[in-house]
Amino acid sequence: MLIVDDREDERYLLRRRLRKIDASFAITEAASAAEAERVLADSACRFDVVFLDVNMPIVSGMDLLPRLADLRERHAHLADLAVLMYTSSIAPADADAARAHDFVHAFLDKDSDLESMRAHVNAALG
Amino acid sequence: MIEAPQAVDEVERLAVLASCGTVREKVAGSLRQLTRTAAEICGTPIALVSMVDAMSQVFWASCGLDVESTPRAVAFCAHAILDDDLFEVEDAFEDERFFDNPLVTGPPHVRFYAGAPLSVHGHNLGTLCAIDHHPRCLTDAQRRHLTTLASQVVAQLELALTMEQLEVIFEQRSVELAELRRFTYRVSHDLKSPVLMMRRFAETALEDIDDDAKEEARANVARIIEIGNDVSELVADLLELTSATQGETPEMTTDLDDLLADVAIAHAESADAAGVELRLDSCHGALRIEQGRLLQILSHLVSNAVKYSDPDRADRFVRISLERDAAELRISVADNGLGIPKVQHGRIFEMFERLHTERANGTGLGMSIVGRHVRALNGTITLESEPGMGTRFVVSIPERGERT
Repeated sequence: MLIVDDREDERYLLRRRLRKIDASFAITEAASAAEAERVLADSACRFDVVFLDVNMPIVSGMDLLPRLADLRERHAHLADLAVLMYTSSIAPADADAARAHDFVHAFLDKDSDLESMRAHVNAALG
Repeated sequence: MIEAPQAVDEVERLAVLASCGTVREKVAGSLRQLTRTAAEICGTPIALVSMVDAMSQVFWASCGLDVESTPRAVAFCAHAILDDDLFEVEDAFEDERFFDNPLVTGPPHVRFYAGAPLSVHGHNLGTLCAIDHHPRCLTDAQRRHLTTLASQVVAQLELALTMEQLEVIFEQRSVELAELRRFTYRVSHDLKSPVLMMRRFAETALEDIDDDAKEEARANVARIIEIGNDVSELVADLLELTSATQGETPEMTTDLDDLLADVAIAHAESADAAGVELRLDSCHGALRIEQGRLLQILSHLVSNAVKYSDPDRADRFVRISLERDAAELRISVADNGLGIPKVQHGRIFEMFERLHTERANGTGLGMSIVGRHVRALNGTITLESEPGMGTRFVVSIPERGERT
């Protein structure tokens, strides 16, 4: 699992929830889109699911999506990567733009309950 | 020829006429129609809407005359505006005021003149007049109709003026409404997200308690308290922002030394924590002022100056200076902190602008609160700032009360 969010609070809370869903998840955190790109390009790290915050300064989650599409084309180890957009609010236009990428599996509300999060994570893990 | 004296309300009259100038284009069409109707009703070859300005009479609408204006000295209308009733000259040759007037002896050869004054907002600006080349008089019905048409000219002008005012107000209100919408959106977002965050931390702390993870629970509860403090700061700022825009706060005699001392005490702790020296520079004395506003202005400026101090500098300071002369009180808050790039100066007073997001948190409302207080005190605020050079805000507040 990779958590991409600029806010430490958010990363901590999500990490706690993921641990509660499955204590064996290996979780990595990235505090910016740039850091996420670096980590993902490294074939030594394998990620199944990326939790991507929509609203981040400098490069937002939305801006990162086309770069991710590009990365996936160049790196075979990212072929099965699933992205969950993790947000407290999203503009309809952004939602549409995100859905255009086939690796974006779902939109997860930061305030959604544990059970719906579990369902989304399991679906993303296939 | 006898020249008409100036109207007793000449200054106000010219001011109203000048304000009507902005709607001249808008009313031109209806004034032309009314003028044509006036000529038809009176059976005269010429009818005019003639406005008497400082030096000339200007024809805002004309029928049967191809002239833009004539000097005021020879204007029949300059006489007509001196009274509120219809002004009628049956035969100019027989009138000592007009017999040798160049408009009578030469073109357009005025012999008969009837002018109904146009009283806009209580001042006669000019006339709706009918002119003939032969001596004659109007019937009672024609006089009544000419007067009625004149009041229609006035109605058109006043309507256009009102429309213009409404357009200005509409424009202002549209801007305010858009600002209010942005504000409401931001407020709901900025209030909602920390409250949800607190709930999520609370849920996490409950799990910690169930798991007997006391330290983790303690850290999470501490975080809830921190977020709670941020929220209450935001709510306090929102309340202040609202009250800053509303009516007057009580005016009281304020000792300037005491005022500075109060501000210094209020910020001593935060300044200490940031390693910032507060330097005070009072001009002494006292004045009557809305003290609450003054305190808030100082408080927000000082708190910002402390918050955005430059950690790489050893001699961090914030200097608060008061100066006053007969006209105004000048408050200056200067620091040697991070400074603000020129391109951002314009955004400073906008709501929810946080310029150094990576450095400090805050509600983003402080400077717009300051802006509103300054406006309420009829003051001005200026800013000099450069990254790396520090920031200096100068607030000037005009003094209106007697000095104490």
